[in-house]
Amino acid sequence: MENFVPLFRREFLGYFRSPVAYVFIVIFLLASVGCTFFLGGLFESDQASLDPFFNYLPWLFLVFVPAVGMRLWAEERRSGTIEILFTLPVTMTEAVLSKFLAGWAFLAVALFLTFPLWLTVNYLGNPDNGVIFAGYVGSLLMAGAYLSVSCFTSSLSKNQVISFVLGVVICFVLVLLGWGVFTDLMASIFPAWLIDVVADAGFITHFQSISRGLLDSRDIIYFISAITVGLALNTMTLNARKAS
Amino acid sequence: MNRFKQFTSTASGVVVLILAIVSLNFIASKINFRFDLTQDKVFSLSDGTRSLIGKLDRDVTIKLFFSRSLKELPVPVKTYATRVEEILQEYKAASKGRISIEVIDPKPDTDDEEWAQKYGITGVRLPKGDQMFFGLVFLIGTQEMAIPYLDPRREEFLEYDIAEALMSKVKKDSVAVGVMSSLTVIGSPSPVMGPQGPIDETWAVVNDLRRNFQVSKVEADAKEIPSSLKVLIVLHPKELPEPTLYAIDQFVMNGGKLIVGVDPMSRTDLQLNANAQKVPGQTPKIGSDLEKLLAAWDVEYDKNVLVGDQSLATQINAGGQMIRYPFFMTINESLLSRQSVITGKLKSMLIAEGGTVSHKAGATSKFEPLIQLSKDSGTASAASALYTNPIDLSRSLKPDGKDRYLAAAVTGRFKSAFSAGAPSGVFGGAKHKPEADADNTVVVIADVDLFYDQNAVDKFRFGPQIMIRPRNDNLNFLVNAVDYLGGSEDLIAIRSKGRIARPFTRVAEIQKEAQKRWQAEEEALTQQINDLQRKLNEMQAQRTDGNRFALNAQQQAEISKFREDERRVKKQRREVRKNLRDDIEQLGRRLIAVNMLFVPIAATGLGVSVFYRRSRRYHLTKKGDRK
Repeated sequence: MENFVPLFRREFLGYFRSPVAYVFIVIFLLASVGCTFFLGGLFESDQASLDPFFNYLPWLFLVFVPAVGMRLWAEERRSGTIEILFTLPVTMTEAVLSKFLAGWAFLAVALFLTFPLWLTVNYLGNPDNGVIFAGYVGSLLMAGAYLSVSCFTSSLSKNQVISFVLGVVICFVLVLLGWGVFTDLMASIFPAWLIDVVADAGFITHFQSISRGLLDSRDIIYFISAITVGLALNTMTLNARKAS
Repeated sequence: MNRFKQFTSTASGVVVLILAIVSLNFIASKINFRFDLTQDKVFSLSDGTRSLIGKLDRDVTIKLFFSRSLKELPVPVKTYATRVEEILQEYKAASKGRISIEVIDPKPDTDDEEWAQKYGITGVRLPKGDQMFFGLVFLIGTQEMAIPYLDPRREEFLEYDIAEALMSKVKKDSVAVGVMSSLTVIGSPSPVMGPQGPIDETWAVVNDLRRNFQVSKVEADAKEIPSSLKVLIVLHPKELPEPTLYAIDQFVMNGGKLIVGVDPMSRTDLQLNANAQKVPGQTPKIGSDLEKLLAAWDVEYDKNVLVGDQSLATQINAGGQMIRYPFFMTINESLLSRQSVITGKLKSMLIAEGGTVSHKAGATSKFEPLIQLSKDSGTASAASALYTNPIDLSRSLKPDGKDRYLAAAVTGRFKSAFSAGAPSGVFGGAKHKPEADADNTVVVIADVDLFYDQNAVDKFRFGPQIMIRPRNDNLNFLVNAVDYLGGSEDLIAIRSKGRIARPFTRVAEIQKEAQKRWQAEEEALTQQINDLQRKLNEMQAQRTDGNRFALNAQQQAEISKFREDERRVKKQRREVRKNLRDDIEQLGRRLIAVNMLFVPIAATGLGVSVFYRRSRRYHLTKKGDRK
């Protein structure tokens, strides 16, 4: 894994060398603060908690994370640099992991920059900071799951737009799985055990479980599994491309 | 061929991966580690529960009935069922073999379903007509006890509900509680008929007590208090006849424990007894007192004094307008005595127009304040309060910095209030006891409305069931007091756990400040308006008969000047009133602006500077290239 660190650094810093990263962060912050205050009604709620923020996060991520991930492989494929990458003495795992972790770290930075919200509720009252911390841990894990899906869709096409749209669609399905309205709809067609399995595969179910303030090993393992699946599919597509 | 190989290896890779992930998650679902990050450890068993379980003296079987195989189960219910199973496992682990758990899925038309119904588990109809069972049955020896429906909204109270169910059978035999009230606290003598039979008017507080103790009703004119009672609760005693007062007195002399709720002005009384109170030409009698009995226990209480607190003011709806009303007081932890077992773990209470209790000067008994008010408290007359509009009443409250208490526990060797022996009307019975043999404790609280459902609980309808969820610790106060006086302190440690509202303290402070700052000015302006109006009236009255309809030019000018002044001052007052709200709205706007702009501007700045430097470097290298 000796190539991992330089690869990671190249990818991570690569974000900040393009104006897109700053635009992305600014829009993400504006959108999250807007949702928290205007849709979530944080100030009117008179409750020192970040629930209004965390409630909208799965839906914000739905758009923002595929936007972060879309460029990772599609760009390399379009510009042809992927051929150079593969001629270097870099294993596929190193390449996939470094790109993924760089994107994840970038999302962590964006998430971290929402800290004024945390300061705000602490200024206004006495929130349960343990619950807020859990909310951030859950958000980060969920962002990782979204990103691994986006990495996979990014490796499917040369076109960033196509990989973005694919990413949004797959993530959307994964969000829907845990959503009550959707499972009710499925109940009329499928047997109960299948619905159980499917509902359990949704992002929101696990995210909400963590953001109540309870770090449960099952939820953490779920997100790590989701990330693993995404990255494994990513590796497989790349291997297939490389071979052909 | 190569492509085919490629495809099969990829496909088998995917299959292997998926299998691995599924089995990993399956294993993970069997063993789980959890870190409870909440401040109050909402999701872990508390020490109180552990010690309670340790005290179990017989085997207990807990059956969880849950219709897991139903198709259209709401996801939150499913998630919650998993939680319930987990917490039950924790109980089992902590019980060292005393507790065993059974999980049953009562499918339609099976024996299991019949059992669920026999045990009293409520079937809830789902939208498509299926019946869902989700409840707990506790088999303790030969006794059984059920929680008919587990509401996900009560998750924070789950641990307590289970502990309570486990303990209740044992405790119910030991503590007998009597409730005496002039209100419908423990059901009405003449129940109102609803479409499905008589409507149960019993307050949630009594149902809460019933889960813990053996509760019975004592009539408000009882001539004797059953000696089997360990604790007597007297709520809102109104003009009790002498023999009843004497019975209560002797109950305490004989070592009976007493909890008294008196109230200078009970709106609940007015609301529940609307017809009885509407006697033309008479002020409704909605105050209560125990007069000489309270005095015998060294408690001073004035039925005519209503207490309010500016910094504890609570938002209420006064005729369509939301105002902060200082006579509805949200009591926070800092004002609930930490030393007392009754209030030590309580977090928040709501007092609805109460009075004060204090210790008689020079008394030798021990007076332990339970609920205190802040330095911003003041008083109003109970008689006039009823007829004053809440906004004006709030304004009239002047904080005077005095210490005031809403509730207290008094301990001492009390003497009878009937020093001359039994009053007339009491025949026979036990021998008169002029003085208690040992120390006794009486708990007095100067509000009754706080125990009324409207002020204490939220109700949700779930199918035919009405779910009740405490809004504050009001009911816990009474249950804890009975627990304490009845000698069982076991459940107190768990009871007060749960997620309690965390309001914006900063906003409340600002509101208080604003009120202080603008109140004086507002009052001055109101005074000015009143003066102007008086002068106007005087001037108009001065007109002599001869020129009743004709005012001279000077008078006319003066009147129009006054009118102008009045308009101006009124406008000023409107602005001042707006200012009261302004500070808070401004804070909201400022916070949104800071959150919206601070980091985005910093990020933009950073981005621009990076690009500026990079483009300069780029140009420099370009120049270098040209050289």
